[in-house]
Amino acid sequence: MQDRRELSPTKINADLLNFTLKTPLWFWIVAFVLSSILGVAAITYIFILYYGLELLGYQNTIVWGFLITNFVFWVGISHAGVMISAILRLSQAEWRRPVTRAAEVMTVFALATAAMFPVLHTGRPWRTLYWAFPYDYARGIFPDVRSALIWDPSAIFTYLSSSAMFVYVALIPDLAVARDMTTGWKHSMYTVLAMGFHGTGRQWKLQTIAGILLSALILPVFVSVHSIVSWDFAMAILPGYHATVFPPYFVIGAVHSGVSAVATLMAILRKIFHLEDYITADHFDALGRLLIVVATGWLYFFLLDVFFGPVGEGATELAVWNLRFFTFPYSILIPIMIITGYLIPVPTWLFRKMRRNVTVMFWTSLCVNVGMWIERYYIIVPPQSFKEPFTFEWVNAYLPRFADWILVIASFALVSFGVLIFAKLFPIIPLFDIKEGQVLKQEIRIGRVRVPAVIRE
Amino acid sequence: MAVRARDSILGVFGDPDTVVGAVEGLRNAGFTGSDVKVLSDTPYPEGAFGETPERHRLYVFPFMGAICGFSVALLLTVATQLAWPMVTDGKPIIAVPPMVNIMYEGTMLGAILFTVIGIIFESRLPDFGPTPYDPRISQGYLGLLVSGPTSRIDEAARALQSAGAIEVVTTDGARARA
Amino acid sequence: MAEHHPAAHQSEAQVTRDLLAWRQRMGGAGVAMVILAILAIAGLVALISLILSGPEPRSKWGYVATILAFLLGAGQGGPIIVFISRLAKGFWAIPIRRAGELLAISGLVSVPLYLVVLFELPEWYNGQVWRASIWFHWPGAPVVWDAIFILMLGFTGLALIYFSAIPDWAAARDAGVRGVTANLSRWFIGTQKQWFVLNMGFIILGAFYVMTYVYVHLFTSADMAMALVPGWHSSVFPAYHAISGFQSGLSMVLLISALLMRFGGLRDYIGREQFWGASKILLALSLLYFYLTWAEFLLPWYGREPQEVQYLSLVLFGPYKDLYVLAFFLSFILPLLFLIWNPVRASVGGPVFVGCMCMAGVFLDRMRIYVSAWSVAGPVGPTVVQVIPPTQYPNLLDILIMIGAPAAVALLYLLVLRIIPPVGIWEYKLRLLLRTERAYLGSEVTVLAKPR
Repeated sequence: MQDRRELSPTKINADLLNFTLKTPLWFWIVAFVLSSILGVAAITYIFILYYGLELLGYQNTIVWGFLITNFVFWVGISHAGVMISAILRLSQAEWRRPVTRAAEVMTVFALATAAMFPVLHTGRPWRTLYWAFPYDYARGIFPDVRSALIWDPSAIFTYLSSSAMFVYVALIPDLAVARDMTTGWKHSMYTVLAMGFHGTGRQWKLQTIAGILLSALILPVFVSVHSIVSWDFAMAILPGYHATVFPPYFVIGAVHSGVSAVATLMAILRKIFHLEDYITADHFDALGRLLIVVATGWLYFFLLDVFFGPVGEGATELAVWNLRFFTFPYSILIPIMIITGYLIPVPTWLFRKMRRNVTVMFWTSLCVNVGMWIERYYIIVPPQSFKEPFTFEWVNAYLPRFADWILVIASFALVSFGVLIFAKLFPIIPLFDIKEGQVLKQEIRIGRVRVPAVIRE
Repeated sequence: MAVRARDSILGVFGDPDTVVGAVEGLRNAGFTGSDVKVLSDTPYPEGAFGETPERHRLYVFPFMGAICGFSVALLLTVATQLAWPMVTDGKPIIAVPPMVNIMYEGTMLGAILFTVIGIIFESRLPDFGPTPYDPRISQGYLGLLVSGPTSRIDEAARALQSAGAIEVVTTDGARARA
Repeated sequence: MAEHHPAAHQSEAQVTRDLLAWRQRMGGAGVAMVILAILAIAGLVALISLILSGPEPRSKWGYVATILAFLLGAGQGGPIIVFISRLAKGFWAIPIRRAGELLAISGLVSVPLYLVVLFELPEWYNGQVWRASIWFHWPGAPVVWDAIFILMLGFTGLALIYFSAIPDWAAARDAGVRGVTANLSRWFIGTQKQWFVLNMGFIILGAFYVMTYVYVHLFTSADMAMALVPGWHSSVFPAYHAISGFQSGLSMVLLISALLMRFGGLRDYIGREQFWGASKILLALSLLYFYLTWAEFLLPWYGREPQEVQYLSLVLFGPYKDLYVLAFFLSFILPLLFLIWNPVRASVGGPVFVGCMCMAGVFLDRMRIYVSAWSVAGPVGPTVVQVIPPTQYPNLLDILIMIGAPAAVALLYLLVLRIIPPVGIWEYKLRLLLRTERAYLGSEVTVLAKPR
């Protein structure tokens, strides 16, 4: 990292715990706005429960629309945490330090939000829960293990639990610092959560090993979760769904949207918490370079799906691809997806000056997620339009209604609210990680130049 | 009040170099191994203060967890399929490939859960006992926690003070400035 | 691993002298080169005999396609690790980068072999219907476009070797070595601008190489395997082909590095750290191998459409089922069981042994894919495999070609080692600059620089 600041432990504590210890006015305003959106969504859903799924834009055969698209989108965003945190920990990349916890927290809330949507979209969520969990053999109702829709709960539950535990374990040292800097009920809360962590050599050694070991264990889970979500579609023999490339395609798309979401989040955190000393241009530079590789990989898998999907298949598969590429409204969605997901951001990121510009990185990363949401939509909805060639011809295009839009917007509000509350209670940038970076910081003199270096254990 | 056989005392230091000298001094005074622990607010490279490296058995936990998770997932999937033997889509009643996905998740969940338990256990947490501590350690100060027979605690306190400790804290919270 | 590394005690002058003296150490390889030359010529003669015997039956090209596909991975996949380590500034890999780069010399064997197999593909259009492929009747497809990409790959690989060798040839020139290499590096004097351009060139050439490599594997798997089997159009197969190729390429780099360390007297340059770093990537690739294989298998197993059932019967669980199972063990199960242990990863023998298993596994897997595909490479028309042919075993010509092609690559590798040092002198000296050991508080630590 070239942007190196000398930061004392006292300054680090003060800067990174400022929002946790003090509550600015804007917090209440933002919390109120987000809660209001969530309230409107809750009321909307009560109407859906009462009046039925007709309030959503479902058509005959198109029963996976906005809500399932949103489910897949948020599972995708949740991959950011593990990608950034685990892979960068394992590769000992120094630039991960201020980014890891925010990414992991976004993972937890994105995944929890995503998990709600398959349950909500059925219209009778209590029955969905009955059907998913195997209890009470006497009723004779069981989840069908052979169904991809049952693999989903096992994967999401595993990933959610693992991510939450990962966040907590890495949070323990910072809880100890918060314990030492607070009084009253906050001190009691942090004391219990810190479990008496005192920073002994043994505890730090285990923290370091924990980071690496948990990263190595959670990485395979991260790959499997979105693969299993992709199999919700790929296991169906529906033309347009039944492709072997779906698992890696979905995973790389998840990484693309997730890492872009991290870039967006870092830009926001830097601005509102004044963290210019911690989240520097170097971090966005590194994120941008990673995104170039990931975006190009995503494009490769997209092309694999496009070129191999129609190969040798019958008229129905070709008809679905014709629908996707040449029939309105899908015909404008695909160019928008390519432009926003690749053609605008990647050429921009090729320039170092652009990568180091926080505003540019914020808008390009947002742009990517617009494209990635559309990508999930174009994968999921069109193939359902031609499901029953013997019974129906083409059905009406899926048109999202007010309830669809509200629930999707509310999902963004829910994740934002979750991250905001977490940042209010706990430091969103890991204190000990930043301090460790200061401890390991060195320089090597080569001629007249002092090259930044790091102690490598 | 019962007299403890062993006690602890904490020396608070302002910079890492002094701590290195203090560890050396305590070693010369006969305090070695796990008797001497360095407390810090951030991890330092192992052995940086000359302290004895810690040994642990953390790696056992993921394996135990994986075995438990695998077994539970296998039981759950097989029992579910046998309890309602329904042929779907021409697949066998005990269909192994779909079971693999769920068993894989169960194995990983077990491994991660036990790893977390192992981390907490091997870190000797939760620890709410009467250990001397100073909140200034979270502000970048370093602590040197010395444990030993109660009869030697005064000797440890003298060794800490002569090594440059800013303050010495005992188990009952009493503080003595250098 | 803050272990004491020989690099801490080496000077730049010593490194230059040592590595330039490599030329003298090459003398002992003469016998090996003679044997390899004989095997290569035998393979070439066998190939020519096969060509002269005509294209039919197409099934006889299965083993030729096998060794071609294997070389595209184990050979052409070598430079991938070089590019990845350069891009990620993984300076630990510097001592083994040259071994990987030089593997691009396999292009001199795989390019002609590729062109031969390309022209032996069955017809793509029978006057009424086109063979199902990714080309959608594009003019010149597949022969013209596949040929262009393989030529690009070969050429880019040779360019990478050339540009990487220039600074070392310049060092040799300055030490008094004359000849072709001195002339080829005449223009290089080590100015800041030249170094800047060279480093940018490596990144751009490397990126271009990786993209071309991926697309060559895409076209190879699509045109030389999938297009031959009616009803087989797995979209993940090209990705699997590229990743498993990279796995065998990395394994080959490890094997060569171990041989250089053991027989080339390079213990002071190549150490445990390189194998430890590469073993983590090898473990990840083994897991990816399983992941992509599982994705490929689960879908047809679940879907059970007629063409999927026939695909499972032919390519996975039919006449070559034993190869599939063996490859699965060699490329995934055994590497996983070995490489999850840190003491194995942090040794030299462990990663090399696992790498050899991976290479064997990938080779057997290529055999399963290409021999089964070419065994049904009939005329255009059917949409489902009609009859599953019995197992086809290699004959003498097949064996000679499968031995001769890698022997030719090994021969070329040894020949190129006569003029290019096996460890990049300029890169190794860079590593010396960027790494140091120093005292820190009460211990000694390794410090690594991370220049922009």
